Amino acid sequence: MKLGLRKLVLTVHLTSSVGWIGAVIAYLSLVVAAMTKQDAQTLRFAWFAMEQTGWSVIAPLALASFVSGLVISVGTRWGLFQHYWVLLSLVLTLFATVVLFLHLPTVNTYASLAAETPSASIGGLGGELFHAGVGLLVLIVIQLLNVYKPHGLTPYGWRKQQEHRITRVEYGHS
Amino acid sequence: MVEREPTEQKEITRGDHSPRISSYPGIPRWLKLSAIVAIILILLFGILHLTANHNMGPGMHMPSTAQGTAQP
Repeated sequence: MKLGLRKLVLTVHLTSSVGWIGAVIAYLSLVVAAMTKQDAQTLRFAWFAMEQTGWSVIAPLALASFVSGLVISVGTRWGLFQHYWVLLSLVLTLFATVVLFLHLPTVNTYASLAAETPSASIGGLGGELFHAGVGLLVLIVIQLLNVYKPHGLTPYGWRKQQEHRITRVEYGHS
Repeated sequence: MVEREPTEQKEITRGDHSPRISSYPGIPRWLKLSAIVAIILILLFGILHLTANHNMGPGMHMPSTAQGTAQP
């Protein structure tokens, strides 16, 4: 991948990944506000805001982060399956994205219910706190992996490195 | 965030320049420790989920009215 393109994809990846974390923190603040206030109006607004944030902000950022991460891994010498930290980041990002898209329809249901029901107790906030809290934890782990880039090659990565080394030595001799 | 290129894993050289296949160094320690921590956390969650009577199962994905418990 050319340097200019690599930097562009990296910018998209950094922005979407950090934005994803920020959006989840904002989502968590809505959940906490709904749990502490406990009045019907706040609850209705909180569920509406959670639904909007989920579909309009978190979901696109998650997809952008996942796709840009894939592109930049494949397009550089890091590779997708050669380093454990890259592989683990991919698995965790995929896990977080899949759980997000499986969970968002539930948020829709609760938001509709909150809009129709005058009651202040429709439930579901415990699940939101759990999902968003665990999600935030997973995203922070991914960020730590990306910043520290701990050493460790997969068997495939090790084999590729050996092949690369042999090729380099052979070219050096010729 | 893969802004820098990877460096090759260090290896003890024999002094000559002949190509050779060295053995795979194995799974890194940080990954083993992370796997242990992850397993402990999953087990803890499983135990809490089984012992506590809170709504954290598949039902947590459904509103309480949809589960047949009508709200006032």
